[in-house]
Amino acid sequence: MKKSLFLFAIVALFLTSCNTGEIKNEMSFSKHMAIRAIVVGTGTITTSSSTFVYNMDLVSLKMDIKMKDVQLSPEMKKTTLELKGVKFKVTKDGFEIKEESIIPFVEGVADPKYILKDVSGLVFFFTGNDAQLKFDYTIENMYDVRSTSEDPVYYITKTTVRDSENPTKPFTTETSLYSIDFDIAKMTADIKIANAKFADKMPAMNITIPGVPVVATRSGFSLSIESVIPQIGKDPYPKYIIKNLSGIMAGKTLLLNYNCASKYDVTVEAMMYPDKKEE
Amino acid sequence: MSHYKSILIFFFAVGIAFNGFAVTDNQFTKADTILHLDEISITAIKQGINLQNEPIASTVIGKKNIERQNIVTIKNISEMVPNVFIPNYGSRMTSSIYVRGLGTRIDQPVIGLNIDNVPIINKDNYDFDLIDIERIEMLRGPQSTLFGRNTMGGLINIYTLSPLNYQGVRVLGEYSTGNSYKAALSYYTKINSHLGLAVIGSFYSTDGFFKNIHNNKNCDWEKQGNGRFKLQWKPSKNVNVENNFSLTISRQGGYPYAYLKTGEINYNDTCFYKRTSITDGVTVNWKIKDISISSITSYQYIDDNMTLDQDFLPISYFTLTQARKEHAITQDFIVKGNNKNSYKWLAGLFGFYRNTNMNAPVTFKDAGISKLIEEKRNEINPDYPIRWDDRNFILNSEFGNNSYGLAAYHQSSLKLGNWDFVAGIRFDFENSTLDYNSKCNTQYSVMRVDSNDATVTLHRQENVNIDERGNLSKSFFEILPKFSALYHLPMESPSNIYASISKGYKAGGFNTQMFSDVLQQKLMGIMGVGAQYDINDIVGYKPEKSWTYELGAHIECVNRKIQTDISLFYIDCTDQQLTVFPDGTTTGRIMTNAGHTRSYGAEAAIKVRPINSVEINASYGYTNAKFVDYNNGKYNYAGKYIPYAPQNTFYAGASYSLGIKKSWLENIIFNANVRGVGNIYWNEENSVKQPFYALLGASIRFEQKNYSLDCWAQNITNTHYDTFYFVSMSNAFVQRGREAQIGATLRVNI
Repeated sequence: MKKSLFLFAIVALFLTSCNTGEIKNEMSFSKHMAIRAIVVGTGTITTSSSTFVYNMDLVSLKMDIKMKDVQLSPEMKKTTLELKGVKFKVTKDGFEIKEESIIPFVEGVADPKYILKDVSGLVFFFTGNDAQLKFDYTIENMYDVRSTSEDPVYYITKTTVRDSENPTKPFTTETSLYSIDFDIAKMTADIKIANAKFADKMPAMNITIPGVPVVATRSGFSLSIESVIPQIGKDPYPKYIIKNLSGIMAGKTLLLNYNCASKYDVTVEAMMYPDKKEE
Repeated sequence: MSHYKSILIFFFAVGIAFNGFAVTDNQFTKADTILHLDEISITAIKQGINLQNEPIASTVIGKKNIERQNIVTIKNISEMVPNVFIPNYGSRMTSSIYVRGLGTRIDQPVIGLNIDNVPIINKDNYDFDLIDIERIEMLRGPQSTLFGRNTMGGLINIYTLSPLNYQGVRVLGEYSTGNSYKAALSYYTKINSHLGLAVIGSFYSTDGFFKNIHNNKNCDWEKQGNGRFKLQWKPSKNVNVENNFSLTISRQGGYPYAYLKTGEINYNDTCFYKRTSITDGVTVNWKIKDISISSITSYQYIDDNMTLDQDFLPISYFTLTQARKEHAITQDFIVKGNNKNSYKWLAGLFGFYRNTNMNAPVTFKDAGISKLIEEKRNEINPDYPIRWDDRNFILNSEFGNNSYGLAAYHQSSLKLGNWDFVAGIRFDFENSTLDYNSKCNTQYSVMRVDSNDATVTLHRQENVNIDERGNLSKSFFEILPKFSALYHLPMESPSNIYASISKGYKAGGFNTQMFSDVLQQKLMGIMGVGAQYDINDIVGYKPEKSWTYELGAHIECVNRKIQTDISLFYIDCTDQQLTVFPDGTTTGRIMTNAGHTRSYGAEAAIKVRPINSVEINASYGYTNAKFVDYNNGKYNYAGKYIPYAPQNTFYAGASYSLGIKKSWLENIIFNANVRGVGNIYWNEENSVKQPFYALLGASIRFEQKNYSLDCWAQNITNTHYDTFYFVSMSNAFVQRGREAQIGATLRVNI
């Protein structure tokens, strides 16, 4: 089913590109990315934001990627890197990039100083219109760079809730949808839960857990906060106070634990897109 | 018990009639016959006139019976045809039809309707008064190979009087209970020997039968006017051209829904249905040697408006309006081999295009805002309660729906001795697109309740500006085969047995009625409550498909004085279009292909003419229709009976014609009939039902060749029954059946 969704997205892209007999075979989109640059040797991690603009040629299977205002350390000036003619292949996971090295263009000129090595990337359309991205490479032999969407959405979720009043019968649901909105400058994130349900009879709600501090790690990000009042819609929701929240974002997975309303102990296991074995 | 009373009275009356008029056969003129082929002059293009020779379960109602039963709309044939139930509730827009356990309340119908060979493309336009009907055929079982979409339960063919076969002026006047009156004037003339013209006008008015105690007025009043124009040109015996134009204007209150707890009809907001419809159909039939070529072209237009007090209570929750304008054209080309040898064939191409524009605002009113929005939201977050600033706001949806279909079909018939074999196939393609624009502009305030001193202050205000636009497209392709074998029994009168297998389907489409739910969910979503619909997932639904297996017999005996039709059927229906609760929601419901059902049953009809002056018709249909699989998101109803479809239908009618033989009065015809239907389960749980009930009717007809006067009565025993049941916002409502009615109908032919 999920594979079908992806293939549908690809076909839809081709079909919607057809207009009055003229066949267009290009696709463009941009995405805000959260970047972690791990200094080779010391392991120091710096974080920054960049906007990636993708221009994909769906016939030749090549794309141009413009990475705007990349700044991997405080000393580095903001630089826009353009990767031209990057080959990609269509797989059941999405569009995949794998290159040993790419020399980027800076202000229109190829600049080997910023050569990207061991490049791997993925564009995954899980629902047909919302791309999940990651883009990893090493640069200047100094930084291992990990780039992920700044607003990742976790479509495949399993929420397990233990009610303190009835702990032996956990409630589970797979219909909630988690998304994380980063504010890289503040190093906080809003955790948004659509269709949140902690009990069978509870109506579905859209809950936001705002301003959760974020720490960058080698494998991703960790999130934790002792206590926070969530929002329902845009309004504070003190009745459902969130306590002892901790989470790990690594690769395409999210693991999250928190207590809600001093009643529900919630464990969330989530993925941005399915494992290959689940296809 | 009242249904037993009705049936007993019927048979008692019939018994008296036989004993009281035990006279010799030749004293009387002939009573009506249903299948006197010499009386009819219709052009049935795709199938034969004598359906008794076809491998089809069918019922044919002739002109005299149509007049005596006062049949002017398809709702009047309910139960007369076994296993066919067309309940009379709601309004003229409501044309729910149940056949052999299949049926639906909304969207696509399970049977098709052709009037003078022209297919009526929208089921919301099935119910209107039609004067001067010559013949009605009800074919049961899938007719999809020849007639395509939405005929998986069968087909109704209605033929009207031809100006080439009848000339003169016909006048009709009728008065009945409810201050109901009907008047019609028809003029049939031959302009020359090849060209005939008919102009028909009719008007119907009723004050209604059910009172809304909120305003102490009848809610189901109606006024309907109908104009028809028929031109028939037959330049030679091989060419026939017909143009049938009809205009119907209907205005009605409708919707006499009573709150089940109180039994009262009591609602405060206006309900009405109004419709203006135009249909123009041109049929051309040309015979060249052994080939006949036909073309059926039509244009159909509907301009209607349904406005409902959606809660049907004297409380201002919300109202719904659906205002629609629809244009449709259809074209069917048929080529038929009229070979006199053993092989016959038919091939055709069919196409249609339909454009619908609809505006469907839902108006939330004070109580609706309070109960359905504010209370729901504030129960969840009482520390920051909301208060709607506008106590009246509109969730508005506008739709543009374009659909078209193309089909190619073929049918071959081979006669080998006493055997007739028929095989047919249809390739049917349909595309439908929906442009939607849903809007809501309103505002609410979020208050802050101080937990210490319970003071309330304004926290913030939220402007709600929803503007959802989009375009959806769906295409369907179906292959619809059928096979049948018929064996002519070596009997004195034409009789046969047959077996058939056929596939039927109901078209897919879009749930436009879902958009108010979508908007409501969106609105609640802004406040953080409720799951969100994905429009792409929930609005479209696929075709429903069925395989029907049938064994039947048409038997005539005793010099054709007894005619019987018997059929046994089994239907396996998949991708059934059903209303379900989507994952994660607590309020909304969607139409989707969720079900798998099976239905089996039997039908028997008998017509007996023991003497020429007496005719007895009886029919019985039994259906056992259950869900094989139906999970609505909350429960699995496998093994439960399909709601709204009756398990039994019963009809018995007897007429006795007393010849007077005077110049001013030829015959007096006594007619009695009883119709029965039930059990009908009203919900999927099978927890609420309408038990079997029977309605007794009778008439006396004074008849001379230039006039007839029918004095008639319906539901004589005043049986109480319900025709419809539904639940809205956890409240159950019913529509009661009409109580006893009497009336008189005068027909004059000049």
